[in-house]
Amino acid sequence: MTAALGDSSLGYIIDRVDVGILVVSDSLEVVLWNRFMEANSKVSAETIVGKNLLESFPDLPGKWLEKKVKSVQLLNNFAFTSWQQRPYLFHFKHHRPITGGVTHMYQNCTFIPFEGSDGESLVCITLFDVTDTAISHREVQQAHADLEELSHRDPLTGIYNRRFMESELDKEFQRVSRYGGKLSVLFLDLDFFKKVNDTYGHQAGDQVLIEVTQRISDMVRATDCLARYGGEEFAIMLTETDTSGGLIFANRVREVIEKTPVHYGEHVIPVTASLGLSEYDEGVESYDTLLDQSDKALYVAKKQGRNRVVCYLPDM
Amino acid sequence: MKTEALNEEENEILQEVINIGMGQAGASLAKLLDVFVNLSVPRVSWVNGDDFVTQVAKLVEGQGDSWAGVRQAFYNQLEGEAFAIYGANGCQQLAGLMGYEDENEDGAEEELLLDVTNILVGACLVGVANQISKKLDFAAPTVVGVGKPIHELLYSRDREWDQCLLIEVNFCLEEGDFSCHLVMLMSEASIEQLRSGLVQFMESY
Repeated sequence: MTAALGDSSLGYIIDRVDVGILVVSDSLEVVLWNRFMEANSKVSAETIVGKNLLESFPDLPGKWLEKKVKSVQLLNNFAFTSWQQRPYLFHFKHHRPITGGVTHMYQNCTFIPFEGSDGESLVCITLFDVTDTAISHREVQQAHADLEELSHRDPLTGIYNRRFMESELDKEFQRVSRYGGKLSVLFLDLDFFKKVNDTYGHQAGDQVLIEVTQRISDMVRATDCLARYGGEEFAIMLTETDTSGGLIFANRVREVIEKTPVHYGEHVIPVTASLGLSEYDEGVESYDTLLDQSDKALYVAKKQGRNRVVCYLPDM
Repeated sequence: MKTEALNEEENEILQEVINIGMGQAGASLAKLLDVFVNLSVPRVSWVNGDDFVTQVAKLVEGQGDSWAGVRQAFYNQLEGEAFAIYGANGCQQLAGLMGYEDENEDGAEEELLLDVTNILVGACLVGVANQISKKLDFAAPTVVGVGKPIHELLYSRDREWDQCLLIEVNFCLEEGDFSCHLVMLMSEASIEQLRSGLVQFMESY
């Protein structure tokens, strides 16, 4: 740096730059404290220069700071801290009381070792207010998480969609095929659903889907995965479940749906469902096969007269 | 214009310059941590940009699937990006030594990775830059990922520069071995600077 400016101009710039600047000695005695530091800490340079930093700010991470200052002096190398790992060095208020939703100023810091005019080793610490960055980062993260969750869901019923269910099934399939265990897949299709739509209208049809979903949701375990597979077709991944357990569950679902008609306005809409079940065994090569088998069993259930559960058999 | 790779003699000098730089780094680390630190002689090689991920993957082959990566940009007469790659838990033993043992915050381990990277990259490059009288500055390091397979840390980005300097260093601490791979990507202009610096260094020798 070549300074055509005099010391007083440089001093003015250091004081007024929109960055916190402080200089400490190896024993953490404050040598310089600029206006940014004064304004945010409410401690004037007059009060703090010549005093020990940790005594004036007992909340600072003392042991860490001592090591940091020692290490930059020893290595004669810059060091950095980022808000992502260490949200702040000095607990300052932020300047976004209305839009912030945060409790403090986020800071990035740089530690710069240098030699003072009398040969003493000093460390300059610069402190950048990165609250805006931290807030927008958090907003992006939140939006990302929301979108991801949304991308897993069926908008009408709120249960999982086909894509998510298949990825979960794939994972579970990998697990049982590697480590062993039981896994079944149940397909469920509402009987004569087109007739519901044609007779009572699509809104009534939607209501049926929502209520039936609710009833099935109440019955599945947390480790199962219920998804709307297509229009009126649902798929349920049943973990640690073989055919006999799957059959008991499928028949309970079938009975609950049959027993409780859906009320829509003055209409009472009777609903039944057909279900197809298949279980993983060692011959099954991929989760697709499992889905395909359940679908075939479901087809047979429809053919045999609906409102029933059919298990997959190899000759289907 | 394609930058020519360094010739054999230039590479020998580079190896020497890096040895000295890393030796200083080891001495500083030992002083800082107050433990015995033994550094292996760094293995230095150049890889072509497209080959960079494959080469690094080969280097760490058979050492597990869980790596931590930290990147740091450097600029001025030498400019580029440095990657430091650590094995699983490779750094944990350093935590106590670095004065983090009383902190249980989420960011503590990542901060340690950043600090160690900053020290290693700084020591190595500053050592080189000082010896060949080139100016060098650093930006803050950032974590690329923790606990990930190597190709997720070093996936083939669209890189502007295709010369890549691979430096492999192993550290032995009293507490146990700890290995780290440093990868430096440099701009073509920097490689020219490096070459001219090395030539001058040779002449003054």
